[in-house]
Amino acid sequence: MSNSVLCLQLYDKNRSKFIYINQFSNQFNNPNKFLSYIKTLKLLILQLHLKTNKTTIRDIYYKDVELYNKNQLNCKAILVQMVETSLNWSLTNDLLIFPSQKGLVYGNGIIINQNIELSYKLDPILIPIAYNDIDFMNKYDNQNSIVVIIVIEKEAIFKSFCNYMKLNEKYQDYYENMGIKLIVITGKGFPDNLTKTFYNYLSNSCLKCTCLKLAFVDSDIYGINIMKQYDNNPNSLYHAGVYLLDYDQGWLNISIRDFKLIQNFLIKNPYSDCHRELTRGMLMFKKCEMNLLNNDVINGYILNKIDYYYINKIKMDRK
Amino acid sequence: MGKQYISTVNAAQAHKSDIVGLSVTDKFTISVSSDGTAHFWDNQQKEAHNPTDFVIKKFINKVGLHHIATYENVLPDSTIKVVLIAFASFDGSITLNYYLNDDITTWKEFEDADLKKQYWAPGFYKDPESKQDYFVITKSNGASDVFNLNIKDNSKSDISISLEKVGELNANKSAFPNALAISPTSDKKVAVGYTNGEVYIYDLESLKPIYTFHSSDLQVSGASTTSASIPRVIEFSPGGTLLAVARDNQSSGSITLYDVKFGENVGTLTTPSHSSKAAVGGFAHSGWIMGLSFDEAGENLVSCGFDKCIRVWNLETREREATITISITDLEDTEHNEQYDKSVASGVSFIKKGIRGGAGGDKNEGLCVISFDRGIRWYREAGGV
Repeated sequence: MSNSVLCLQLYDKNRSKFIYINQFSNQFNNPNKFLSYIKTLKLLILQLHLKTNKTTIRDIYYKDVELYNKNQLNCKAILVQMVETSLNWSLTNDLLIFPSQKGLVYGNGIIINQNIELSYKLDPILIPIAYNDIDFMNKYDNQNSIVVIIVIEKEAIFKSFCNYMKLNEKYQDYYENMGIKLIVITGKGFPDNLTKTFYNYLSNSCLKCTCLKLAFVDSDIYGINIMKQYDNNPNSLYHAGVYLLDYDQGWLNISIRDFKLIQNFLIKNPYSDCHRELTRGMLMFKKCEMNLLNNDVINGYILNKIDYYYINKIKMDRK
Repeated sequence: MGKQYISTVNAAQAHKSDIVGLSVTDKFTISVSSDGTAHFWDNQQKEAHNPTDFVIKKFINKVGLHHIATYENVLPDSTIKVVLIAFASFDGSITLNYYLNDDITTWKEFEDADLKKQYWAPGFYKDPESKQDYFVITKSNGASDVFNLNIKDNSKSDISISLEKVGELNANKSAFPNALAISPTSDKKVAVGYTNGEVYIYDLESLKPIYTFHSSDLQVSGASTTSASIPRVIEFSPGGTLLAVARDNQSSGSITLYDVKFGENVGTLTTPSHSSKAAVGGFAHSGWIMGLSFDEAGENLVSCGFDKCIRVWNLETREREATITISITDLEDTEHNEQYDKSVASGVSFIKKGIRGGAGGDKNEGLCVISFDRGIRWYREAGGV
């Protein structure tokens, strides 16, 4: 045993060659690297035994933070290299290891899975990997209830709004009485796959009931692009705010790069529902960001927009 | 407050999107919109007509239009009257169309010019001495292209147009040239306003800058390509002696007048503030200014903007002669989209005497105002009927 050296042999598909990670090395970092691979291997074996148990890269990372040099990216890189690159397996499909959750969800009266039910009284939660219990058609009185899905670009605005709703029983009762089921999600900027699939799952679940989908993003090309990441169908996810003309101060200048990005977007999407807002930005050389409005203003703004769309879309459609 | 204006007619929901460009020719008031269409509203109708019954609509570009420039001239040694129109689109292209003898059925597109690059604001110079006309377009790379424009009667009841590029105006290539004005006189001057707050006056023959009018913005710009005081609209007086520059001033708008001959700032147009002793400030509008127009005699200037106001200024006294406030309720049809249709006055033009039909059209000047509420409003000066 003393003469033998443990060595991991991994195939690097991108470079089309094998790489070797030895138990011993002259380089300081390599023994630690070897250990981290072995530990990850052990965790993968455990995961295979618990095949029904879904987990995330973040959970694996937190099993031994020191070993991964306090960097979650190292954990992700090792998992991808060992499972996807070398074995050609899928982390999500074969091992039920999902990317770390990034998006957050908040709302009321909706069962996400057997362990999670959204409530105004609770804090926002990370979008769970398992959300198969959401079933608007069968679990809720879909004749009278309305599902309002709100997408908020900025995490700070999302948290402020959720906090506002949590403390404000007047609005909680108001929406309860109107039969509105509110679901608020954020992808913290550009959404990850889990947030996008969660949004799509929600949208598809609501196909046969009354559903209103509103996006609150910055009035600039990046905000519009984020909104389109969720839903690219016109008149499906409404751009509810913010608009350049909502402001009476605090605009920001757009750069030449922004200008050209808008131009390219408009050439590709000449009939976009955001056309009017984007062309105003080009014409005025301005953009505006949601977080320039203070918390009270933006929370009231979002609530007003829900009312506006409720009256103009839902009530009008029902007439 | 010496003048009064009476609303004559208006067109509600005149376009499907924001109306952003306006030009008044002898026969038509032409409006362009980000919906990509140009509408030609007949000027010679009775005062109480419904404008939507007398409009001709032309689709130009699906990405949307933002600027319009018109060239209206009876060709020398000919009886043909040409109206050549340049439409600037949000995709960076310029489309040139023309019609002859005020007959819109002769509408044609001039397709020979390659104007698909990153263009922004177009403008025509009509030489009063009929020697050499020019076509100028600003570009998003900071330069402006200058073309010789030659239009000839080809004696087949049609015309031939040629555009020949003669050079660039590129003294300030670090900023976006967002505004353009061309002097109508024989001195061949062109003014370009840049997003870093500066306005350059160029000579069209030598293509060299003559004067630079710096922004009064307190921001230390350094290498910055944008400023808080963008010169949003610039306009030469009919005599070519004055240049009016409407700049952003935080969230307000100021109008500065420059003497073009000597390159001097000759004053500002301001509304009274809270105190006559207030030394700082002085705004023409409490929102950004989107439109400027001189009257035929160069005695009055009209401005409009984000504060939903149109102000007529007497240039001699520097006082306001009239203020008109617009809102959705002015329009005959108040159906609108609450999210987008705001009565921001996006452009204004004086209408010369004798252009508009109806009572007082021959004796009084008028105004035409376009707005983000998709309405077009025509006014005439009161009295003299």
